[in-house]
Amino acid sequence: MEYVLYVFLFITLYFQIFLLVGYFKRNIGKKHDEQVTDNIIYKNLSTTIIVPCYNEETTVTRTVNSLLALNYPKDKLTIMVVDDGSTDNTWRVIQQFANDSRISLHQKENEGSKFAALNYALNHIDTDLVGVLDADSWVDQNALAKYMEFFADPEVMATIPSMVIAEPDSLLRHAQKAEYDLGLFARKSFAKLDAIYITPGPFSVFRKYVFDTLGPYQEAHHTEDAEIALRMQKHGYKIAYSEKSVVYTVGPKRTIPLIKQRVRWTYGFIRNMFDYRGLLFKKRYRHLGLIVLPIGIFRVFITVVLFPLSMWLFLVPIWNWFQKVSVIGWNPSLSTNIDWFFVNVTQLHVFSIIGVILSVMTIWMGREMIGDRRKFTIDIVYMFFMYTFVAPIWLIRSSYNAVMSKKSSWR
Amino acid sequence: MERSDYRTYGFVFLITAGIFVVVFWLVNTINAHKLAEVDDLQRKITVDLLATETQFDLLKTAPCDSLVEGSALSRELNEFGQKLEFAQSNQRSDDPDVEQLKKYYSLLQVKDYLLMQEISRACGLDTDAVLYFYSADCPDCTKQGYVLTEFKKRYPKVRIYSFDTDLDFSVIDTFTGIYDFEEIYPTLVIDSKVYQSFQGIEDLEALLPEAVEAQRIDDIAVEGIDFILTLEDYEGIDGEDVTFTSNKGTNYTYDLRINSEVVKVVLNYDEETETFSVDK
Repeated sequence: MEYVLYVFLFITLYFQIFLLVGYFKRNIGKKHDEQVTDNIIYKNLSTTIIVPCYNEETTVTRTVNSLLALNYPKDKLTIMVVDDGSTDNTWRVIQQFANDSRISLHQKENEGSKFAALNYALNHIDTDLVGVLDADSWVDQNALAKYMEFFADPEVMATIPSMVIAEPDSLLRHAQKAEYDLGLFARKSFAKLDAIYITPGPFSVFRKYVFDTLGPYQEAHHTEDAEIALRMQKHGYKIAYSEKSVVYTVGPKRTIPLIKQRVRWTYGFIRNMFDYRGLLFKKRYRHLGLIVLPIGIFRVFITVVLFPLSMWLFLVPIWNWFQKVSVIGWNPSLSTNIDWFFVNVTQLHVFSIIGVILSVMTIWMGREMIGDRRKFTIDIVYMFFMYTFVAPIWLIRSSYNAVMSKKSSWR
Repeated sequence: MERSDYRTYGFVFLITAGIFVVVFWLVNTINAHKLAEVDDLQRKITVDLLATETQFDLLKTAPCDSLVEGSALSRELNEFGQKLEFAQSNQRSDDPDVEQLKKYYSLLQVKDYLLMQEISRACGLDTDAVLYFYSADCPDCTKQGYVLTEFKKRYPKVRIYSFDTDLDFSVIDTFTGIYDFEEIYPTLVIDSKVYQSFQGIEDLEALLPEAVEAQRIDDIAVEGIDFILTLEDYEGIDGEDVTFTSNKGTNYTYDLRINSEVVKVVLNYDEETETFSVDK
């Protein structure tokens, strides 16, 4: 058992270092040099942004307004709001945009999954680029303009943004903020390694060519955003990451919706990986096939073990101390001469400290990338708690569901 | 797939393996150091104990002073035990070095116990001893351990001897045979009486009233020294020049050394107001 743990630790550490190496890899042979990009004016391609909404009366206005505020030529941007058979006032709320020539409003019957709404919209689109913005997210005004730098490379078929949790107002949302910031670093590494395997719902933009050649969205176990990315990777289509394009999203506030969301994500990831198992361990797909996806799958199982374990290591001394206080009483004799003999040092302790340092470091780098000045905040601690106590629930449940082929619902 | 990819994988592997090697080396080194520290402690205690014993044999009378020194020895013995216990719980418990040391520890404790009993009998003094028998699978033993450690801190003159009954060691078996108790742990033996349940601090204090009283007097005596130092009559006197000599009721007698002259000072302690006054 001990050795299995060390193997897990080794793989996790290997992956972390691999990402670090990827992150610092120089862009050899890249078409654009980062130093001069600021001075070049890129061509603004005609773009349609689809806003699929299902019962999003409270957030959709903000989403559409953020699109209208985009720093982008008015004649190049079209917005399609698709009401996917909402049962609340969404349709009534979006009527406020009825007179805006850039916005078209559509209403269709709900077919149980988002992909249908996206495909419905795709049928009405004839622009160079097509993007998606979930109705619970909103964009920074420069997000789209920054994309053009990447689309200047004719090989780039899609570009994804930096996703950030906006205005966290609960413990779980704070935890998710740290988690998303940590993800930024991984995203950057993946981008440099040509191994992005998800084009998330909030503001991924594709060339229309992608859908013309590879076909429309698929149901894909309720994770159409993962499937399309894998399909693109399979066909050697390049996905870029524009770190300066920031999109804000909210994330579930409470535990149960969060677990539902993550079960859907993880379940979708595992099932899609099964569907695209042809990518795994193939030299042709390089880092994606050999390292990123296999370890991505493996990590689902590792996380279940490692996070609770490292938390356990920190909780045991606290429990002992608590037990001690309960029998001999609390006498705060803060003796400064700690006997270091009684500080426990095991391999696991050292590795968890390394793990914590690496996590904090990656969050720092992610925040640096998007220009967030507050680097070390308490939400990092919340994230560790979330991954210890909540994540195992969704990981175990989605793995179970995936193995039993049990479908997870959208909401 | 490019050749540079393999180089990257190999490079990352080397870094990862390097970190692993360093971590394992570090942890092993630290633990080896800790064990060496315990070993040194054991050697020191052995010498001290042997010295007392030899002195006893040599003089054919009890070296009564050693009872006072003995409390330092007993403190070391306790520290030795705690460190051993810690080393055992955090390293692989089947470590032969640790087990060997634990047996040695038990042996030293028994020797210390017997020697101190003999000396105190010969000197006509009372020494309080607690014998503590425990086992790894006993749920209350951790708590009992905490209590005894704390008790030792509060009453340093009480000698506490702890024995791991899981240790396959004849000396411990003989020892448990003398008191003839069932294998229920924690088991405490105080004044030849066997107690087979968890004893809190208050319980122990009730079982050892003399030790508690002696400690109380000692504590007051120490406070008395502080009081003397604040007196105007003895200004400029150092704490080292004051020695507590005796106690009778609420009277505490001290010897003061002032310019190589010894002056007797008697303080009266008011237990209600917890204040001192100079007894004229």
